[in-house]
Amino acid sequence: MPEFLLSKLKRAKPSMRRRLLLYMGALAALLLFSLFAVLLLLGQLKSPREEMKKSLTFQMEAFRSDVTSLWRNVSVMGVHLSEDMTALIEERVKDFDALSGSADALEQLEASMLGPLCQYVQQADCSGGFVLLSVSLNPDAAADSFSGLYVQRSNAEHTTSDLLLYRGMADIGRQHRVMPHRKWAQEFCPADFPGLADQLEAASAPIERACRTTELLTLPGTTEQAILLSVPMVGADGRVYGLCGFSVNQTYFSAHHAQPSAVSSLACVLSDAAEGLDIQKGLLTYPAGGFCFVPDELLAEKSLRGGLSAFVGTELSFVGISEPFTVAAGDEAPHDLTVLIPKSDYDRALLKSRLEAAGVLMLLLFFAVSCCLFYTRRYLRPILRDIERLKDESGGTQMTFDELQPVSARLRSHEQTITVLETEKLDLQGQVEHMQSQVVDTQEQLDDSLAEIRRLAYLGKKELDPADYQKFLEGYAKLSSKELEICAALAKGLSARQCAEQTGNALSTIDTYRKRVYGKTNIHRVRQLRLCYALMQLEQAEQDK
Amino acid sequence: MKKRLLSLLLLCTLVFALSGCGEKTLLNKKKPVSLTFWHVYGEQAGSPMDLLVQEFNRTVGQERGVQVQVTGMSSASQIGGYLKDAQSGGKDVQEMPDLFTCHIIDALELGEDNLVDWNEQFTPDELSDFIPGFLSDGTAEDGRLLIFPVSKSTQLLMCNGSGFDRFSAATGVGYEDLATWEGFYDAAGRFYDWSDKPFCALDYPIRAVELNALERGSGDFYTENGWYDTGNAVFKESWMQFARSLAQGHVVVSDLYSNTQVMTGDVLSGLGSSAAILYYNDTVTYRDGTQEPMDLRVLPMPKTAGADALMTQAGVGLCAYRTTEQKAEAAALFVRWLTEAERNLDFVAQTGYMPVRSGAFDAITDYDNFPAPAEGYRQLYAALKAMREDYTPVSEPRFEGYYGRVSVLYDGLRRLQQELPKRAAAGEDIDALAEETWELLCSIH
Repeated sequence: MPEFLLSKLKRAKPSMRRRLLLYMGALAALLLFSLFAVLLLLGQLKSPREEMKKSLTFQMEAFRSDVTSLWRNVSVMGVHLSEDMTALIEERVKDFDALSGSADALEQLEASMLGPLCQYVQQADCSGGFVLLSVSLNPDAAADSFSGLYVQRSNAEHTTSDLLLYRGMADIGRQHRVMPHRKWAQEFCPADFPGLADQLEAASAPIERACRTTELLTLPGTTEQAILLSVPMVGADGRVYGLCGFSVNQTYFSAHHAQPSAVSSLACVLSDAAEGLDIQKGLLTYPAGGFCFVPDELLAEKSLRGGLSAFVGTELSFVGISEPFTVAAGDEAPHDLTVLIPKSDYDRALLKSRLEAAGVLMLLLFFAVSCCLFYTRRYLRPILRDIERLKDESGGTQMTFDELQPVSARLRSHEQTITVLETEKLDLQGQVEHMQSQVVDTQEQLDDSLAEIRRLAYLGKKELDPADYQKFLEGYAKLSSKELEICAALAKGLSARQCAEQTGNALSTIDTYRKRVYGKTNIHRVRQLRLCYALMQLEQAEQDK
Repeated sequence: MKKRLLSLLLLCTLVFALSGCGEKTLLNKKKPVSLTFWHVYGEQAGSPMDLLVQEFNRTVGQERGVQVQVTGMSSASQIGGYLKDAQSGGKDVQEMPDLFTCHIIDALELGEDNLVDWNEQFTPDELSDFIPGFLSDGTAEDGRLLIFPVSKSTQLLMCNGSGFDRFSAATGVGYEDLATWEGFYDAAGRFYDWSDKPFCALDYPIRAVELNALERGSGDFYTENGWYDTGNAVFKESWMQFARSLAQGHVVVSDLYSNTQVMTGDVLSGLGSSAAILYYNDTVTYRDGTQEPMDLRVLPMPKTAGADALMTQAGVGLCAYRTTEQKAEAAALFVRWLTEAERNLDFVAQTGYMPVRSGAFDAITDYDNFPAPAEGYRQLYAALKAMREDYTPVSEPRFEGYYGRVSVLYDGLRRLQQELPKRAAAGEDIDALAEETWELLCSIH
């Protein structure tokens, strides 16, 4: 079938317009192909999903780098804090267990620890720092609390802010101008800090590998959420004195770890690993100067095309990417890093991309149509007009294209030749008609002659003696050409004079030949000759039939 | 014919005019505008304001294209400084927020022209629903409404109920004795004698002295440069009453917030903002680790016996930094939503403030959705109700630089209160010690 079509196409002789359209279409297709090839080579021809994935991946890399830097700083500072606090305990406390229930001894120890702890908090990339001692002011096991210190930045979003005493002995804080927090408490209640008790129980050397983080917890008495990184304080003899470390809360994280991004509506979340995304269990930050509202509900995660994930809530949905992230070396399970944008923005970006593509195509189409129209108006139509003018008898003087002037001149010359030829043809036709009429007349004369011959033959049959006719035939066969000519002329009824005029001979010559003919054919009179001659011709005509 | 043409012309004019009256908004749901917001509700602890912001973002903000982001939370006394820093700009300084809570004096220092005039965003009819005194607190001298009232507070006495019961049982002092300044200072002295601890930490002692002086008929005691007329004898007498108590260690200026001193058992009571109730723990924890229930008791601010009682009318309001018309409209949308009657009532009832709409306070009497400890909140609003009925509200001073001078005064008093009680115990003349505090006040200009 294709071969048939191909051969059909090859045989086809399209019009000038069709051929032009075909070539223009082929040119447009070639241009489009070239355009796409160039865009593809320059990396500009990507689907909006790929673009979004690339953008979010880039954002994720920046976020991961920032968070890695944050927790590396906190981990290193935590190890140093642990070493310093352990040294301080071993230097100042002879019997660690005797601290339990002793307010004075604990006050002295906390007083010595508060200064260094505050310095660490000011230097570290954190919102607060703590030292949790595995002793308590309430030796009663039922009290289930741990002594220690916990200082926080007063207004974590401001770097110059003062520190507050969140846990610890209030007087110690006041003496160091670290005022008690509005939700101050003297000791740590393990139930308020999930995970710390387990970490204390599992604490061991080397401390670098024992750095662990809690899940995101709500600091007791407040709505502030934080992740605590703890490092065990292990003495030279392996005795675990407690935990120390730093906290990073939501306020600090969002204020000091705003993400560099061209996308203003973006949220970056460091959350506990779980099914879906729950920002109530995550630290959230945004681009500098940007914001993306994420509702405090569990967002179900679903896979999308192109490696993206959808995070679907009851009213709002988001699109982003998520990957595991190990915060501290001793963490048993990683946290999750998630970068997301509103689904509405994502949909809008897809729509915009499609509209842009449609717009480009429309533009190309418009350009092509405009070009065609322009080309048709400025080039094709003048050519066609010139061709029409070439057809005009008067054409050639107002041609748009000079290149067609010689063609026009030659055409005019050919036209004149044709006109002359046609005139000649007409003349010839007139002559032919005249000759045909002559032929008709001659035929009529011939027919008349035949009729006369027949009549004479008829008469001759009646008048001629067959023996005389036989002698005529014998004699006729012996006639010379000249004699035959003279015989035919006489048989036609010409006189001797007429014969002389017709043949150009002298009358006497004609007469001489007449005598010879008469003698050879045994004819005595001209009438007898005409009868024999007619009868002979009649017989020859019948023989020819 | 002319009449018809005229009618047609009038009709066209009316149609065009009315079409111009249609609601034109700069807000776009598809391109939400973000407002950064600094507030002072629930500093260090978090507050219902953050939950309201979440709710707004989830509902009206979502529908209208406005997103509010809380980027800063501090205290009413600190936020002015942070705002000035932000306005000045610089490294490690946060950007100026679009919306913030502050006192009128802080707003004026930011420059009236830099702030949104809420009169442009609210109709007179809308504003008529708010308590006029609260609106005037936020109005500049040229009539611009710079601070929109969201909540108002006053000063109250909050007491460790468990400790007071023991003190009362031992000395016979009852809560009713704390109704007057005389009774208050007397009880403070008796508590100090009984426990060797200060009775009360005052967050804003100068305000207590001011109200006491006004109740005594001091008249206007402010100087032109925004400080106190030290020649006003009544004012000085009020000061000396407080100063004598301070010099003997009966009362103290709170080290930061009185509530923490009550919670640590360092004092028995705190005289501070009604909003401090948000920060009180359920228990009092003493130095040795022992704990007892707070059993918070909330009492009206003491008044001068035999005089018309006065109460301070304090509290920040919402202020919007003037940037774009779109943000101004967005801010107005948020403020309008935030101050809707029922929502405002819920908010103030959970944060210890007074509602700002006329007649809304009466609804608190029947309010039954107080947070824990509900009894403390009930007592708070009972005290506020009594004060609304018996006290006359007085707005806070709004002199430029006034609060800076007050801060200097408080720092000086905190230094003096470390040594004066010891010197008093050593036998020095109380009046002379109190005179030292007066000299401190006089030294500030």
